[in-house]
Amino acid sequence: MTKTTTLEILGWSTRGLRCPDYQITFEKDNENVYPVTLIQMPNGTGKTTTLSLLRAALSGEAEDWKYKKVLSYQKRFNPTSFGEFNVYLRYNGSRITIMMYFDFEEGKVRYFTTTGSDPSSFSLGKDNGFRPPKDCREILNPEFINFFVFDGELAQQLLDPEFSNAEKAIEYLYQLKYFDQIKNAVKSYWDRKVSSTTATGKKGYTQRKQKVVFLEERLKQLKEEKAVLENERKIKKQELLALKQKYEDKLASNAKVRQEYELRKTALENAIKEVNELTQQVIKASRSPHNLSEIIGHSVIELKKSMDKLKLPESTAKEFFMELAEEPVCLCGRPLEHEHRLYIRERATHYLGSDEMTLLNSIKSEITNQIEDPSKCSQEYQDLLEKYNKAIERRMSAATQLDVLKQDAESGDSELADVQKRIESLNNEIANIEERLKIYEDKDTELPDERTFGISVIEKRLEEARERLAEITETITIKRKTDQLTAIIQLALDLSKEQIFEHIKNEANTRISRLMPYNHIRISKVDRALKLEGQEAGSMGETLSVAYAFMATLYNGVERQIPFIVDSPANSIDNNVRTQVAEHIPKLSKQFIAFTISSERGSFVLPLERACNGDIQFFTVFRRGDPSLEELAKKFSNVTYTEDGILVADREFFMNFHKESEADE
Amino acid sequence: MFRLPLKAERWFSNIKHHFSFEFDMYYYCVLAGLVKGVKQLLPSSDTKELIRSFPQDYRSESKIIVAYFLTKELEKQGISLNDRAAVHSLVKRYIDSESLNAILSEEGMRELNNYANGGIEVLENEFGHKPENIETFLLRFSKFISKSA
Amino acid sequence: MLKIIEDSIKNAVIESGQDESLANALIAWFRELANQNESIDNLEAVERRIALVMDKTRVDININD
Repeated sequence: MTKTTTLEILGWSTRGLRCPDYQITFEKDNENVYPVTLIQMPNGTGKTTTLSLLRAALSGEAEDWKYKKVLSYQKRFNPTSFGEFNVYLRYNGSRITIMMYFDFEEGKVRYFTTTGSDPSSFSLGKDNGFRPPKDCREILNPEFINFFVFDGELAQQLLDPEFSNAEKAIEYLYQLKYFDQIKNAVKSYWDRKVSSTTATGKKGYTQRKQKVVFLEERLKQLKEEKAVLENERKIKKQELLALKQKYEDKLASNAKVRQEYELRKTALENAIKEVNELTQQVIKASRSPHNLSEIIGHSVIELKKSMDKLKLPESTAKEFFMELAEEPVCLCGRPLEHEHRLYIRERATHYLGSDEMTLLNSIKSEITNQIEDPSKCSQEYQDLLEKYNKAIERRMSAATQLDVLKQDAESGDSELADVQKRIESLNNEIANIEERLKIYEDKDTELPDERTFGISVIEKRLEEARERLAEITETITIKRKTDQLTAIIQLALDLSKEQIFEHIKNEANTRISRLMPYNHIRISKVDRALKLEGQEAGSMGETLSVAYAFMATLYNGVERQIPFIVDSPANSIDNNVRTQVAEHIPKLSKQFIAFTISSERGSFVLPLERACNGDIQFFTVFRRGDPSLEELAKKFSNVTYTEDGILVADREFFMNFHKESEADE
Repeated sequence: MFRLPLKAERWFSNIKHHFSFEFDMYYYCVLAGLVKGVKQLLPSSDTKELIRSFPQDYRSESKIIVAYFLTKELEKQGISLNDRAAVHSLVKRYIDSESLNAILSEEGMRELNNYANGGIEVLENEFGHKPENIETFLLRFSKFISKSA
Repeated sequence: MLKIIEDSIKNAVIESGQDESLANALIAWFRELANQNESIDNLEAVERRIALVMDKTRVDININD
């Protein structure tokens, strides 16, 4: 179930304006207002003025009034320089007061809005404006106000699309606004998403997609090429291995060369092994720079010596001075003042910390340990290099000797020679393949995609391209979903409106047929205004009955309760219809306020009183100056007098009042 | 962080499989740069991260390398070994005890990396082309350092 | 009247070729707003709702159309 929101008018007051000054209240007790209030104001009392003021107060429209219009609300007799019209409201239990302050000198109306119960909390020095709570503003605005404050021409206004907006009223009352809210929220979501992406739209997607496709194909191609080469290499290596074995076997089968071959082969293997071992030794030894150059050794020793001479690291660490700065007295016995401490702390930063001292000392001791004699270190390294060189030569020699043996064997054996040729050829082919395979390991990122062969580079580019594609795909997907959702929401709104309007129309027509069973006037369509069929422009009474039937349907059972204010509610209606209309009134709204004239009392007021079980307020407002009326008023107790007006809150007075003035205001 | 110029990785590509660490390539570049006193600043996109501190196998050699680096920096900045304040200041800038096995401060490491960047240029010029085998490289490199220091 | 609104949402969803779960998500959202249990100004709540309805909305992402 949805929550009920309620707007009630608790009363109003007027002072210094062209209608008589008076204050009226509709509160029954602290929590309730009277469901029906009838206000009798004879012609010339300012009924029209009051309704205009009410409409202005509830919509804020007077902020735009021009000088002349403002002045037209000033009292004719004994005009004052200012006037006030206050409306007291209650919205969902909270009190709101809207004050219109008329400055007739400036020709302006200023609004003050307060929430809470004390209207004297206004500060007239500060214009805070027409500021009802946000939720109320849907109805307290110039457009909607005409839908619940009818200044006499209720029916005509309902039928006139320039004057009222039945569609908007229905949207408000049946909470259709939430469709727009949801739709706007979805659209805002899209706006936020699109503002954070770098490319949108089909073109951006196509470009990114093409990039991904290209890179995928390129990667596939490179991997395939690499796989082909690797396979080729593998086959050739297998062939090489087989050929080498064949070669070995062939040589071994030759009794004359077999033994010598084994000897030379072993010698070569040993020579290779020796070279490999010495390679690692040289690499290891070359990590000490002083091994490669005696000069480096000497310069490092010089550094160490100079640090010793300069007493680096110093024997005292930075921490010592930092601690000293905290002492009350220096080492020398002098008291340490603030400026001394500052100086010590500043100077302390020039010293090494104790850890740094340790490190520097370890560097110095390593120099001492490793470079006892620079020339000796260098010489030892040179000796190693010499050994290395000789081992390389031995390897070369062993290889040569083996080659010579092979060549001799091959020269006497063509098959062997062929196998050797094939082995050499295979070695070249394998080396060639390996050279070609290197490009797939290339890390160069400068070249365009089509000239980049490094597989890892292409893989990285592909990953980035896929991320960018995903980003735009997501964007396009969100756009499509946004469009779909907004279309669905709009369709749902249209369907809802169609059905609700149809429902209201049918229900209203049912009421009309009960009100006027012999009349064929019906509502044909509910749009901005009501459209009638059966009788194009019905009589005043007929259209008024239609209006009431419609309003009763509209207000019945909704969770938004707003007051219904009308001038001359039953003026043009036939008596029998009046009675029926009167019976509908309590169902129209939780608060019904009507300005009535004396002729409406009999056939309208009495049935109305019955329909709401006597829970009715009766007010009569008139100008001072008629002695007979004033005398009559004195007989009653609920009478309020102002400078130029009298308000009588009494049923008997109301029912017996006959006063009619010659001049309309 | 020690950073290896990407050029060096390509230059050593034929022989790097003989090295136990990529740091070996870095060291050779640093030594070449130090002996010739050549530094170069490269954008980080032209270098790659290696390691935060000297590898275990360089534990004792690291101190000599750092000492040689300090020597060359003092020479480059025209600081006499008798100028205590200046020597002290330089040492304090380049040494950092909190960097565990790194020994060098961030500033010190940056400068050493610059020597590596300069060193690969030196090697390219000295050798003319990238080395084909490890034996030739080691012999030629040793000779080069010996004559250039 | 809420029934009319709920039915309208369901019909709009079906007519658009979407799954019933989307209708349920939209109806739930509408109901909470109408009950004033949620406000459209509560950005966190709105984000959650949108994430849900987006998830329930199916679209064809063949960009070539």
